[in-house]
Formats: sequence, structure tokens, C-alpha cells
Amino acid sequence: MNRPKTLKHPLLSVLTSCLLAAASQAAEPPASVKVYAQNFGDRVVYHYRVINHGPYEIARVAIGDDEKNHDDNDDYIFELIELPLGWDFDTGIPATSVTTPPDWEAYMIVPEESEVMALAFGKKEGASATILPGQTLDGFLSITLPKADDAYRNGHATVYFTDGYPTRATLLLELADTTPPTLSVSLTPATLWPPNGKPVPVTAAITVKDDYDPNPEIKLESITASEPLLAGDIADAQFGSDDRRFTLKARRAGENKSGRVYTVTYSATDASGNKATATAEVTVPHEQGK
Amino acid sequence: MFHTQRMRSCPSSHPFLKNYVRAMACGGGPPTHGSGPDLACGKSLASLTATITVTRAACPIQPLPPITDPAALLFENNPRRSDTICLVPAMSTALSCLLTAATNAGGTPSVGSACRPAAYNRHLGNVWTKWVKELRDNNNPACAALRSEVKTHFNGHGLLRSQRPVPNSKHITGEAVDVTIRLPSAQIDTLVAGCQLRRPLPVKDRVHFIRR
Repeated sequence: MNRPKTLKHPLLSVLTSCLLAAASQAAEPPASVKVYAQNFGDRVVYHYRVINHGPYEIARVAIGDDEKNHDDNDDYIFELIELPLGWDFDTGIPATSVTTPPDWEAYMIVPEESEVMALAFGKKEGASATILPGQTLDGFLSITLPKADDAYRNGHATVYFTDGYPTRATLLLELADTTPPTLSVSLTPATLWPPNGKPVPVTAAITVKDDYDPNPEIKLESITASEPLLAGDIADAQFGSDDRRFTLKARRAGENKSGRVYTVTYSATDASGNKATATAEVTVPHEQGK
Repeated sequence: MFHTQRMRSCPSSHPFLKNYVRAMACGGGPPTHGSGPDLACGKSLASLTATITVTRAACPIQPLPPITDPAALLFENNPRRSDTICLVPAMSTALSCLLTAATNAGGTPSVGSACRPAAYNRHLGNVWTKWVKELRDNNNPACAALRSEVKTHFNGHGLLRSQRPVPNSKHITGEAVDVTIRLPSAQIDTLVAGCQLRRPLPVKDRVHFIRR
């Protein structure tokens, strides 16, 4: 069987590699928008980083602007619900609730008769400051909300080009912060004695640290035990909230030589949604000293 | 000003690729990798450039679709028009009540938008999208004329970049009005309740009233 003759022109490999590079670039999104969030207790701040991978200058980034999921040809979906801190219909976003680069501005796009909206960061009309091909805009775009709205970190963003066509591209927001907080828990007292069935107040000491968020959200997730519980063995525990005081009964089954072990689980979730859990134990020993 | 970080360059602008195009346009052999950027072949390169120029001369953004609906054209020719004629009767009554009550309270009400024909409402949406999403940031010289035209249109309609007209508006069916009232929000809500109206979004769209 004759094999087809292979053409080996020196240009062929060059062309192939160029075409492959071009195809690779075509497959790559023209930009990335990364986000991390910080919880300051009375407010949540979202920070955005824009990386221009494409050949066009970027003049604007709209957060919560999802053109990929059209209702129909005449509509597109906005995603944000929570308004920036201090936003007003007439005056817009106060300067204290937003940061932008020089010659850029931020404003909410609020459709008529709609609950959902988008947040646009972009150059002022006539200004020349754009994100050039290959540039990363980092540390300039942020918005402050009175409380968290997950769509600000896990929704979409649309980037707008100065002379590209299509004129814009919609991307999924990427998390810049993917590391969960570090969390440790200790309980006092860690041992309940004597096993007289009386309720004992227990206090949790929690240490939490995160690389971006100064105030991760703490929650008491669960309290379990190594043996069946009776009603009232666990009391005053507010699960799903930052409850660090509850009551456990100093009780254990008489035949259980290893005693009863209460396992208390807390979680810490940073404002970017990364969650860590940690457990600590309270023991009701079978015998004192064990 | 901006913190910048250089990324890899676009393959299509790679100097070697340019030289390859130039060399092949000259009818000669391929350049070797590392050739300088000064391969000369004016004639062929000029024709190549001309082709590229022609391709880029047209603005790729489509112009606004023309309005053909007569009712929409009536509104289009008077963009600041506030037409209350096509409000449903109950809404018309409620609006009269609101205007009287707001005037008596010193709120100097003004009706911004009442009913809009569907085709006109669609046109407003098209103008908003064309300007805010496609042309406002566009600096392609080939699009300059269209940009100017659409900007004039956008401003002429009194549209706001921060508020997008929606396709399924209650304005189309004559069941909503936009009224600016210079009174505290709580006072406005008291007034409108007495007129069987309410504001579905008193913060995000505070001038928009519908019936209770």
C-alpha cells in the first residue's frame, strides 16, 4: 500500500505553529476578571482584577452583566441585587463606596421595573485610560456593599472593547481568593466531671485567620456525641450562627468504658466563599483521670 | 497609573509572521526565523495593505433598525412626549389623583413617561443598547459617524446610561407611569396609597408607579 507523500516544506511547520498559536489564542477568553471579598462586619468590599488577554483595549467592565444567557434577542440578564452602600437614585454611588482608576467611574445599571442590576466600571467618556492588551488592572476596582451579595463574586462580567468586534465579551467571574481561612477551636471545660447529669456551660475559644478577609464568618455547625443523646443533653446552642456558648450535660452511659465524647464543629467562611471547619471535643470520662 | 503586567503578544502581530506575509507577497521564498523587519517589496505590500484597509473601512456595528410602526413614529418625532391617552382608565384616574395630591403637598410633580407603544419601547431599548453597549466606548474611526448619530438619538430621548428600558414594560400596556415628585420618600408613599397606586421598587426605580 502506497503511503501518501508527505510534503515537508520548511514553512509548513512555521505556519502550523502560527496557526496553532492563533487557534489557542482564539480559544482563550479575551480577558479574565478575578474577584476577592473582604468582610468588615458592617460592610463587605469586593475587589476586582482585570487581565486583558486579547488584542483590544478594554474600556469598561460590567459586573453582573450576563449576555450569555439571553431571555430573547432583546434582553439579557443582570445579576446583582444588593445596592452599594449609600447608593441613591439621583446621585448614584457615593465616592466612599467605590474605587476606580483615575479617569474611570462607576455606576449601577438599574433596568426599569427590575430588581436586578449590574455594576459598571469604565473610563469616562472622552478619557483615554484603557486596559491595554497584556495589561492587568489590579488594586483599583472595588465596591462596598452593606451586606454580602454572592452575585458580585460568582456571577458574570462583561468587558467592553474600544475598537473590537464583537464589541464586548461576557466572562464568568473567577475567584482570586481560593484559600479557606485557618481555623482552630478549643473548648472550656474540655472535661465534664462528675457525670452527675447536670448541665455545664461550655465556652468556645476560636482563632481564625484568612489571607484576604479580616473577618471570616464563624458558625457553630454541629454538636454530636459518641453515644445516644437524651433530650436536653445539648442546650442553648444556636446552630448556623456565631454561638460560642452552649450547655452540655455531664452524662454518659454507665457501661460505656470510654465515656461520652461530644464533638463540636465550627466553620469559618471568608467573604469569597472559602470554607474551613474545625472540631474540638468535650469528654465525660467513665472514670475520673481517664 | 495602572499597575501593568506584560503578557504574551498576539501571534498575528509577531514580526516573523509579518515578514513571512511580506516575503510571500513578493513572490519570493520564505524568510528564515530571525529575519529583520526590513524585507523590501513595496508593490506587493502596498496591495496587501490596501486589502486590509478596505476590510477595516466599514464599521462592523449595525445601525439602529428603522422604525416603521406609525404609533412609534408619532412618539419618535416627539421624544419628550408624555402620552397619558393610552393609559388604562383606572390608571388614568389614579394618575390624576396623584398629581393633585402631590401638587397640594408642594411636590411639583412631573410626568416623565406614561404609556409607550410596544414598537417605541423596543426602539428605546435598541437605542440604549446601541449606545451604552456598542458605541459609547468605541473609538474605531469607521464607526465615528454612527457613534455620533446614536449618541444624539440617546440624548434626544432623555435616556440614562444607568437605566435600561426593558422589553416587557408595564408602560406598554398603559399600566404604569413615571412621575417625579419632590417630596420625601415616605410622604410619597402615603400620597400614592391614597390614590390606589404603589411603587414596586421605591429605591431602585422610585419614579415608577403602578396600581395597587
